Amino acid sequence: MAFTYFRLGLVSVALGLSLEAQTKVERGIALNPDGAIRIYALVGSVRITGWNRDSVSIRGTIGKGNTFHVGGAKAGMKMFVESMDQRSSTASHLEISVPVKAKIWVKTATADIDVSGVTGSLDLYVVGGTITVNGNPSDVNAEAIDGDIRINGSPGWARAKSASGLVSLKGNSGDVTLSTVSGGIEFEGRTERGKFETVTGNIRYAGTFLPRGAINFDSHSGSIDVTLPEFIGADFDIVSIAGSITNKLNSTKPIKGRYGRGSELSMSNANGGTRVAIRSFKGPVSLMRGKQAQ
Amino acid sequence: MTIPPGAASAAVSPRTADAGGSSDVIHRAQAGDMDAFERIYREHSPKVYALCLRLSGGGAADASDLMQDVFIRAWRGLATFRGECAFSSWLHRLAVNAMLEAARSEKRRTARVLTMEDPGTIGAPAPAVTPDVAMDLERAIATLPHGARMAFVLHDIEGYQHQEIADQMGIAVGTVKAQLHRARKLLIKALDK
Amino acid sequence: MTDDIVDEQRLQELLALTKQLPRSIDPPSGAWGQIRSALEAEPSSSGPRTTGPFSNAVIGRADAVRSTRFWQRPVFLAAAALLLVAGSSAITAVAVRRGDSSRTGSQQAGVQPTAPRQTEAQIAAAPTTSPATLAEFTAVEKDYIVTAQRLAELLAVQEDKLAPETVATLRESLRIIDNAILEARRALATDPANAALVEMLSGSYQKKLDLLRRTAEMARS
Repeated sequence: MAFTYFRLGLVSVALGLSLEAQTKVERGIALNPDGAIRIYALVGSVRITGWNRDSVSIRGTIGKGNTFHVGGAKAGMKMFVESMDQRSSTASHLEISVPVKAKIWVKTATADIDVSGVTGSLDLYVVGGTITVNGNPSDVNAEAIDGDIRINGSPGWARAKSASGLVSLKGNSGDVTLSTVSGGIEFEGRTERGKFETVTGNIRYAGTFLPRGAINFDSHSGSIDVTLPEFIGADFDIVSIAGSITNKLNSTKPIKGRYGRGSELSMSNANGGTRVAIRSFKGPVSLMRGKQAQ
Repeated sequence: MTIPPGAASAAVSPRTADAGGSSDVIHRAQAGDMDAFERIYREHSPKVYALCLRLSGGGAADASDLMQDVFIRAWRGLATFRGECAFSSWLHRLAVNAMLEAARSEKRRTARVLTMEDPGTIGAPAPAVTPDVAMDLERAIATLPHGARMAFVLHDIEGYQHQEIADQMGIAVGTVKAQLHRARKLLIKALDK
Repeated sequence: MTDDIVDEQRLQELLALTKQLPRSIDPPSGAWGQIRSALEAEPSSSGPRTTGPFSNAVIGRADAVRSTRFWQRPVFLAAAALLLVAGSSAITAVAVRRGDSSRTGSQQAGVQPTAPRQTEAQIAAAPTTSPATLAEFTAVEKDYIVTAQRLAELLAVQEDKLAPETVATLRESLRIIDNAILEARRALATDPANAALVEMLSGSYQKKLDLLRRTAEMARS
């Protein structure tokens, strides 16, 4: 996964100020199959699709008052939309086809990011926009402030953080961390190592674990709902300082917490296996029985 | 605003960091972001592990221990990385230093308990009879005496210059050349078997 | 000819074979977990940070922030973070001061209702009933206070650029985390040996630092 530095011999597609509301852009540039691509945009959208060609195709419209720059080498390239007035930047929409194994790095302000069919690594940063990933990238690192992050697929590992947006992963991933402050967290699938943490958002986990994994759930006041197959092998260590614990996975009952406050539950299900630690300050915790794992 | 002395130079130049998004990742890791450090690990560990595997000559367990040592040192010393060289080069130097220190410790330990056998053959796996010549070469490298193995791996595989190897190992250039020559001779002999 | 001479052709064959060796070999899958566990077990002082969770590298980037680049950097968040951090630090200081008032009389010694920075310093030095547990918490809090202040100074250069929606989100997020810190701290004051509470409180601080760090990083470029 070596990122090589691209020389800044940018070929500036400086479209400049235009009397048109938007200006079209259409470019094709050669890129190695595992080349690196770095994209900056402010407002609008960036849609990236993987394809089986050793080149990058850029199509789209650049908002009025913005200029588009692109350049680099076959090992790596960079493109960005420059705004004359950052406070009121107009929307630019880019549709970019990239080699399927490319390494993608995108940073926007409010432009939505959508990536499909890429198997390389993804680093996606947005302030107010949304991030959507479809497919099976080798790894995903996605960060937003108040936007949603939705991953539909099976990345090798995934890190997704938003403050107030929803963070969701539907698929399988060996190593997952999903984190919010007030946004919800949803996971449907299978993982070996997972960390799901929020302050006031609600966490919903529906799926299974790989054997000998380690899973952590952490919430201050949001609810934690974990739905698992009846015979999942896991060792549970659950503490809620001031909240409730409901166990419908098996017949073990939680006990009162320290000083008669809150609840605790330590138990093994189906001879144990994956270590599951759940910590909640005052949010309710529920273990539920779902469909048997396939 | 007062900037602490040396702080400005601590910033990683994007020109010398492994580029793309990596300079941002390094910044984050320097700021204590463990997830960013994991990113660094994911990006660089295959090359570091390959280096550790060949330098240690002792198999996957030793290589894993050495690689763990390398990344722990990297975490501790991240603030000292100022971008004057590529980050991968900096990690490589850490790996070589870690290997040299490990070898010195091992030498002190084994000198107390072992006979006068060639240290390079102690614990080394027997060369496998396999049609895969590359695998034969890997196994042969693992059986090299320590100094010869270091010189060969660093020079012929990793592309270091004689002077660079001499500086890092704390030996004379002439010694590096002699060890390299010895390594090549032994490898050719091993592969001819 | 001596035995020491290497046949040139055989040497070239060896070097050609060497060139075919892979430069990258995937390490065992559990290696990162072991490394991370080892790092997390280390004292905080041995990490890359020099003082507090932000190293000098972060502060040094103020130069980069001010430097001229040929494209303008979106910096909506910089002043937003400044206001949020300053406000958040004050909120935490007030909240912690309020939390301290729930302690027993012997624990209140030295805690005076004064200006936020002075109060934070006093809280950091406040006596505890369970040094092992509260000492860890206090160290984390000290780091937070120092870091938050340094971040506010770092981002002060971008005061004139704001995105209202993002400011609102950040302000609300920091308020939420501060409330969580307050509640956990109050609970810890009455149950100082509760390891789970210390874990939760540390986690809340880490979330706040992470949010501030991410904000600063997004504003940097």
